[in-house]
Amino acid sequence: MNLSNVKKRFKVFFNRGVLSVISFVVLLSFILIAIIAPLITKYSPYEQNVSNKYAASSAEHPFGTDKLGRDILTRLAYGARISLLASLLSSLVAAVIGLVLGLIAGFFKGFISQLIMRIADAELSIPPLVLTLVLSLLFGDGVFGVVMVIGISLVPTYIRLVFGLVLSQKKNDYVLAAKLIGQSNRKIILKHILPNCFPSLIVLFTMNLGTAMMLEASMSYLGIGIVPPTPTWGGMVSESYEVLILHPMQAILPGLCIMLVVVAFNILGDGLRDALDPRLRGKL
Amino acid sequence: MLGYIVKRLGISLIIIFIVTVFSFSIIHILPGDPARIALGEEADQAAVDALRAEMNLDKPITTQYVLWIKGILHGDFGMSIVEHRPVSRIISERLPKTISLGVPALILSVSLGLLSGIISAIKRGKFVDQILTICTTLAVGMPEFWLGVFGIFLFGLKLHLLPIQGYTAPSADFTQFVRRAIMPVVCLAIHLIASINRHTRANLLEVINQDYVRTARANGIPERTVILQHSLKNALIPVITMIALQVRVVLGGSVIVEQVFNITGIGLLLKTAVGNRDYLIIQGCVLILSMITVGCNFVVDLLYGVVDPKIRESWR
Repeated sequence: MNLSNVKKRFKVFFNRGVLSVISFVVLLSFILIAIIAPLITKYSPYEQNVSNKYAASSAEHPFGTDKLGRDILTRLAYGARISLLASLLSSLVAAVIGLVLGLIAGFFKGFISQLIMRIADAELSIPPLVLTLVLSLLFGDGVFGVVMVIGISLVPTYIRLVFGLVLSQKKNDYVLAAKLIGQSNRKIILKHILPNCFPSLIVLFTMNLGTAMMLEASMSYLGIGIVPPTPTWGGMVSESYEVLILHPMQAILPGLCIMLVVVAFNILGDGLRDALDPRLRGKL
Repeated sequence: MLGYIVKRLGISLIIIFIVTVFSFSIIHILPGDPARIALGEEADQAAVDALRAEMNLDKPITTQYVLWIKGILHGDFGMSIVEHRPVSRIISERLPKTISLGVPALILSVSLGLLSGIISAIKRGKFVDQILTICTTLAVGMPEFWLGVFGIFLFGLKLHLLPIQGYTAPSADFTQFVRRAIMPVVCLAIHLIASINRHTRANLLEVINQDYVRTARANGIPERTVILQHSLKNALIPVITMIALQVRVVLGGSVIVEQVFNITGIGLLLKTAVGNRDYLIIQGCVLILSMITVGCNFVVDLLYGVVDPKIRESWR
């Protein structure tokens, strides 16, 4: 194959449609794996078998076993459950809180609006992992705690986005007209402004799924939030660190999973942005 | 211009005030009595009460806040309950390590990110652009800790090129500092390089499509001048804001990177303090790290106002 042929193939592959489709398939497969995890493997992610630790790849254990003899494929599959669930729920929490606060800040001028925006600024001035570490003390360990912690730390971006959207919506004639015929503020917000926020909100939501997953993985790597023996991808990287030189795949595989899913979320987000709200290009 | 500076300064001060309220409340909203944690479960109530009085925990909340702020303005962040040393001293020992890795990481990401972003935009759709796009897309999704672990495995354990852990101060032994800093700095910078690349590319492409750029081209001005003098200046303004916002990402990343490479900087300090529930250290770290972010943003905002009169005007 000559060089120009390779280049041509690259171009075809690079067509946004193709990439979006691939990401979609990757995501669907991971979601499917997460849902049917018990059907994929006959092991439990907690089942220890110390006599069979660090087993090599075999038909019984496709990716081998870890330091406690637990099947790695099983732990990866169950780890997908935790990671996907945590990122989805925390993004939902962030979107709902951010939407409400952003609508309030954008629609009502004055002290409340200033207060909300300055709190968002202040939250944005605390480095992301620092904030999650501190909040994790408040919300405790476990999936619920992690969802709340990550959700709250993602709120400011939503507030800012919705705030900007509402401000530009308010300038439109139909909002003025609605005011003139005496519609209530509640009705104007819900019927005229809210629906126009949704496209951008969906774009940000999809993009934040990747960010949320990355935060969850980093927290699990640090051993904060979702703690062992619960299987998480970040935790698996950290657990296999001590045997890095002998069994590097144990650290590399969970990292690859994180990367695949985050990249897929991002590409999907890019595709959605171009389709739903091209004005956000270069901003998000 | 003066009005603009005052307004920006006002906003920064408000943000700092909110951050201090947040840091202050850490000790109050988090579970457990700090004095009890400091003395242990077995300590008798009288000793705990004495310490509570010493830490001003028995006074009304507003008085406590005022006393706390007064202390901080005098550089007094309280005592660490684990190390039994002033928090300010611990932080001032740790912070230089984090900064000596964070600054090179910022420089690396800005220079690489801008350069590759400009190349991507000029060669839009060509082979180089596609390769760069693949790399940045993968880089954004790559967890910092995983890149670190992978680097340790490849360059440290297999190839024996770089030391796998630890930190040497640049003043003590500069070559050793560089050798030990290479991997942490790259890990800190990786996401930033990718996002600066994406932003530069997108903004430059937008500017290149503007009428005045077309006019410049039609006038026969060489492509190099069109890009460097006419387009880049306008394209870079949004990128600069983005870089200012990313200072916090580098500081946050230091928590992870210092854990991976076992560097005793402020990130590792915070992580350990969270594990030990050493609330005064947590307070101090949150406050210092946020101040750095707010300070950087303020400086960039000012530069911005100097470069772009439109922004100055919008603040009237």
